[in-house]
Amino acid sequence: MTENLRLEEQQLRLARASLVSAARVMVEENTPVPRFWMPSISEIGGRVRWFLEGVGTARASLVDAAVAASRAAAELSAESDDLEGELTESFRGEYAVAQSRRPKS
Amino acid sequence: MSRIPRSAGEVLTGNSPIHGTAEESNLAARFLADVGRDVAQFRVGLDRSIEALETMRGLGVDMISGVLRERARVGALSLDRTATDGKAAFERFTDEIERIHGRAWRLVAQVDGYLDDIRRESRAITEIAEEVGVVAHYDWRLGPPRDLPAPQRTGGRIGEAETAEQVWRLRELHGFSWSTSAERWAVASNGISRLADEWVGLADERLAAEHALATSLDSTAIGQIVVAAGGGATARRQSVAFAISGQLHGLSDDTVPLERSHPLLVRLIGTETGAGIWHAPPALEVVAARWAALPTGLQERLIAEVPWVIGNLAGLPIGVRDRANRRLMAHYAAHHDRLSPQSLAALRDLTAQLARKRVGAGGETERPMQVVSLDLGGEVPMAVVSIGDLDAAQHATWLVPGMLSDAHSALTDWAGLSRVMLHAQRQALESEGRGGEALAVVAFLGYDTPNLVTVLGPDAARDGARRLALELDGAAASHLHSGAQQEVGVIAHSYGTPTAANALMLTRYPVRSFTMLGSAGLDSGRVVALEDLLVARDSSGRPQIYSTMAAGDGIAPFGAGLSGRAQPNPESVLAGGSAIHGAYLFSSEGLGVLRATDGHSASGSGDRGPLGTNASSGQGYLDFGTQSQWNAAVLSIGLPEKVAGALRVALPEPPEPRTSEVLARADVRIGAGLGVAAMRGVE
Repeated sequence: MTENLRLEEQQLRLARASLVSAARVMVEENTPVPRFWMPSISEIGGRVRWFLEGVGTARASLVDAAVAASRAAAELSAESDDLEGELTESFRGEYAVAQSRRPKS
Repeated sequence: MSRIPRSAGEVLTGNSPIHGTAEESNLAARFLADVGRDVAQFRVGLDRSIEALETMRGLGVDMISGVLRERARVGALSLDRTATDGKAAFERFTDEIERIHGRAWRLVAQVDGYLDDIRRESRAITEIAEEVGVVAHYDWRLGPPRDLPAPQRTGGRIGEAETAEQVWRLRELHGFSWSTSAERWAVASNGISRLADEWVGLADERLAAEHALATSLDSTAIGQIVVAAGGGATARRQSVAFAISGQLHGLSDDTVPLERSHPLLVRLIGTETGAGIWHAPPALEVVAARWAALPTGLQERLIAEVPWVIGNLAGLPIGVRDRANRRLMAHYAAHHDRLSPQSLAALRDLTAQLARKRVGAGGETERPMQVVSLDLGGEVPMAVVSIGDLDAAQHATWLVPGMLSDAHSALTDWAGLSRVMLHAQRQALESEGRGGEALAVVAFLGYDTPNLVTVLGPDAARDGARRLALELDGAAASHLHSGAQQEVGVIAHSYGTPTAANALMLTRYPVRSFTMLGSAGLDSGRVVALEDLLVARDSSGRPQIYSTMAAGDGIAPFGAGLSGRAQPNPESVLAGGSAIHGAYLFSSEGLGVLRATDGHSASGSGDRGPLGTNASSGQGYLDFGTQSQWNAAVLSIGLPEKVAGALRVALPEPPEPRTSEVLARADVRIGAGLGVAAMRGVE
């Protein structure tokens, strides 16, 4: 039983570590979403920009999903480890997907 | 001398093929390459994590691994493919732009060079002209004549012979130089003309490259989600995040948009499962009333959590269904791998339609497009789209296509035909001083249309009719509940005519008119007399049912005869075939500026096919500018007086309605609208 628990802790830690590293890949040394408005004859600038922003959002949302899953897995673990610290350090408790700005009053 | 342009910029007019630089496109490709690399690594980590979690058992780990497996892994795959396909699209665009820009800049330099040549030769011509005393005012494009004009220098007291000799000498002296300059000028001018044409061609190539890029981006999962979301940045962000990862800012979206059950559905349809709503929803008036009575919060939950049910539930406002169907689109987009090739094609075409710039055929701003119904989960993709706001429209027209018109192969064509139908209707109303009346045209691609074999049987029409009838009655019930007035016209083509006629046997709300184009014959097993269809009557008591058959259409009469269906154009019945009488007939042979229909197609393309299997380009029944299309347009909005040519009825006269039930259903007069009195039999 103890052996099983120990194994499960190892698996949980592996799962969390894999998620953290997956999320990190997606946020470190990123090429930022290009913010240009592509000049064109047929005015496709908006469609291009929305597409690129969509890709950026998709990438960020996967980061958020990985971080959330890692935190959920941590709650199942009986042991504390340094992964939460890493998460906090890397992601600062914020979401990768940008939040809507409030309109200026 | 006309002023010679200072630079190529004054000569090369129209759209410029040079816009920005290829650097923007390069930047996008680099970004997508980076995303592609990242997400590939992300997927490795994700898989490792799922693998570790799946070695354990328990509710907690099952939930986490389930979310990662069902949402994040699928989303990561979608993003991976989007990045790969998007990068390739931008790289192709970059190559095209570099080629086009390179050629365009060389072309500008060549034009500048030619302009320099013209300036130089112009100076030479001017000098010679002064020498020989001629006035040299030449258009820079045309240049001077090749031969030196007759010198005008004459001496006052010099004799005629001497003058002639002087003229001869001047010709000898300057004639060759003049001709040489004139020749060079002409070469330069012709060169500029040729380059100006090439410039226009390059602009077209640039347009094509832009179109290809936009189409490629819209074909990706993220592109489709973004287009389906429409609206502002927040809506797009929400749609993308929920579709790709199932969460946003700590809020989880645990729903599966294809789910067809929900506890809240009890309050709307009386049962938790909405699986049967496609063909057997509850009473539509009840649906409309119950929806309106639901608190907004619950409505929003249903739209978000069971969009397939809400998006396809007849009786609900179309704006509500459109929102649900767009959410459904986002889900389908994020799950490309689970769609059939046909459904993928339908999704791609639907996205392209939604992404169109909102400019109609006449350059006017187009009404928004609505996704009235959507189901890409079955063997045959189904989609019903409306050009214009179907909730707000005072005149709604439903187009019902025939054979080989499933959503994956016909959506683009029929959305286009809907647009030009709306355009023709708008023109007709404007000519009556009623341009402000709201219009919507619906392309009904919500049934499994027959193929070359099944077209001879009745099943596809009977099955499609059930759904069409529900859609027609659902929209009517929704309008009745909201108090909005709407008149409905149905226009059907080919095999769409038995489908629509069968539907009008099932409906409980009258439509204003029913127009048949190139009918493949009506199903005698369902429709015995046209009076049985629930179509409003005109002042003479005759149902407002219209039909046309082009002389060049050799297919529809043949199909009707072979299948044993009754032809509503009695003059087009082949030997051994049968007719169904009573429709007003009109010509589609062309009149004045209105073109003839020369084949069976709703939308013509290329040359006319043998026996009129195919109408030639611009000469299909529903092509803009044909007599057939114009007449269908004006009849559908209640303007029979604007029909081009005559309306006539082929004898014999139709029989009287046969049952009191039929009388009750059809007791509708022009202009009765959807008033309560017009809806006998509606519970």
